[in-house]
This record gives sequence, C-alpha cells and structure tokens, in this order.
Amino acid sequence: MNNYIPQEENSTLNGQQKVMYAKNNSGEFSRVNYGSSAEEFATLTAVNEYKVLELECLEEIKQGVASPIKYFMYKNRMDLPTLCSGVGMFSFRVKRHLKMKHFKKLNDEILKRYSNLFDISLKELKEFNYE
Amino acid sequence: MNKDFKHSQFAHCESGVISSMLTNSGLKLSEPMVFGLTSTLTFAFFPIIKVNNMPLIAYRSIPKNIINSIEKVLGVKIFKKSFKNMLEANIELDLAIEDGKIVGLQTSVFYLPYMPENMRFHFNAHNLLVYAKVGKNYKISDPVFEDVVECSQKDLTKARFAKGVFAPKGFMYYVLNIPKEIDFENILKKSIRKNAKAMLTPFAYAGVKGMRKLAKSIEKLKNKD
Repeated sequence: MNNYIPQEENSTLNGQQKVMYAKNNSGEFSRVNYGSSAEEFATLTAVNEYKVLELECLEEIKQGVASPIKYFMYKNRMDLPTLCSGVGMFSFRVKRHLKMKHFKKLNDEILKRYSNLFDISLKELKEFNYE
Repeated sequence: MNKDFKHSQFAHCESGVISSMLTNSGLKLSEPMVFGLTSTLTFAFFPIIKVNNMPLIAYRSIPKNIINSIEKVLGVKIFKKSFKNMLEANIELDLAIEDGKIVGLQTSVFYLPYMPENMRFHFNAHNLLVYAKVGKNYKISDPVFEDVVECSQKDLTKARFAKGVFAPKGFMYYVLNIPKEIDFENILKKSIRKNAKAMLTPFAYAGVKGMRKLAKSIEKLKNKD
C-alpha cells in the first residue's frame, strides 16, 4: 500500500531520510521514510541561486563596484533584511556599505560588527582577496 | 539529565518537539494529534506578498502557535522564557537539564553544525530538544533527524541568538505540569470544529479556497514558459 511514497535519492540530506505520514496495510496512519527528488531539486535551486549571486558579486568586486561585505552576505546565504538585523543597522546604511567606495571609508568598529556576524577575522574582510 | 529519553523522528519540528516532549513526560500524543488539537493546520496563499521573490505559501500557523495553544487546549503548564543575555540563557538551560527536564529550544537552522550543508538557510523557527549535556556538548534530539545528534555550546548559543525574522531570542520551554485528567472528548470536538472553520473560511486566499487558487496558478505556469 505504501508504493506511492517516493523513494528517490536526495543528496542534500547527507544520507538522512525524512518521514511523512501514510496509511499502512491495516489502514492506520504511520510514519514512513521517504526520499524525494523534487525536494532535492528545490533545495539545490535555492543553494545555487546564492552561488550565482556570489560569483556575480566577485565580478563586481573586481571592477571595484561592490564591497566584500556583499560577497560574504551571499556566501552566508543572507539577504539584506537578515544582514541588517544581524549587525543592527538600518538598511540604508547597510546598502551603502555594500558599495566599494563607502566600504573603504569604514572604520574598524563597524567592520568588526560585520566580521563577527560572518565569523571571519577583521583582516579577512579588509584585505579580501577576490582571486 | 534525563536518562529515559526516547528519540523519535517526526515530519515537522515544532509539532514533533511538542509530541516528543509530552510523550516523554507521560502524556502520549502523536504528532498529527498535536497538530489537530492546536488547530494549527491551516493554509494560506498570498501571491502578492513575496518571500525571496516567491509568493508566500503557508501550510500551518505561525511559529510558536503550537506551543502557546497546547497550553490553552490541554491545560498543560509549560515554562517559557526568552532571554536578552546569552550567558543567562546558557545557565538557565544547564540548570533545567541538570534537573532532568527535556528542554525545547527555538534555533536558527543556519548555525547548527550537524545540519547538512545544503539545508542550512536562515530559518529562525527551528525547534529542537536538549535532553543531556556531556562536557561542553549538548545532546540534542532534533525531531527531523533519524537519530540524536550532538552540538557544542558555542554553536548552539549562536543558533539560539540568531537575528532576523522570527528571531528566537534564546527562547526555551519545558513541561512543568500535566493535568491528571484530560477531557479529550470535548477538547477534540472543539478542535475539529475550529480547524474546519479555518479550512472552510470564506476568505479566498486561505483554507481550501487558497489551495484551489494555488493549484490554478501552478497550472498557469505551464503556459508562461
């Protein structure tokens, strides 16, 4: 009776399986392990979206437009509201910090807030190597 | 430290945590029962509100709803506390665990190191149970995992104090008291009625009507490409 439960590979769970509820042979609801390739696809799409943004951002940093903060934001899978809340600053301020020309003028104290959030050293953020 | 704790895997985190917590405290409730009793099964589809550029689809009430309404519905007493101070939060957690409590925590998925890399997003309303502490590590029963996991104090603290939407603020909870007699017959009738009402709401973007609307808009996607 459980043959309609997907048992496909889902690489995003590192070998774990999730459960869903389904009727067993005696007609009662019970927990059944399943693997869904549709779920895998959805997760990987979301992951790849950030990867694409990351790569685009590296290009922008090379051109001197975007700041390393923007790169680390995408690397940590954050969007602007999450980043703002994480460092406790208003979004108009954070938006400016995402640009290289404003980033260069930032003092260590502000940068420290970002580096703490991203769990990197201040040096890594300041002397970001985009290669 | 709770030695008799039994881990089981569930489909959702919050309902799973409550089911596991109550079952281990002597009141046997399955996960679907927890969902039903608290009337948490709802559906909403808001195509205009975008989350990460996707229309908002909700298939359950907002986080914390289960914890709050299980108290009301069953008369179970639950200790609930949020923190501003990380140190205070850790001390309180340690004390509760030493006391043999099974403690539920609200955390962010992103900072939990045992999560698979691809699953780590900034989702702040993930619930898990802590049932023991060994050295600097906590033993955790994560309801969506097959088996118990371990997590260091440093990482868990980070996860408990993540910022953003639904920020957990170190929220912790555990069962204080379960009433001896619960009048399930009446409670169930009420809960079913309440849940049915939510599903059959005349509001066009929620309940069954919301599902229909979502189905229609999925069909429309085919013609878009």
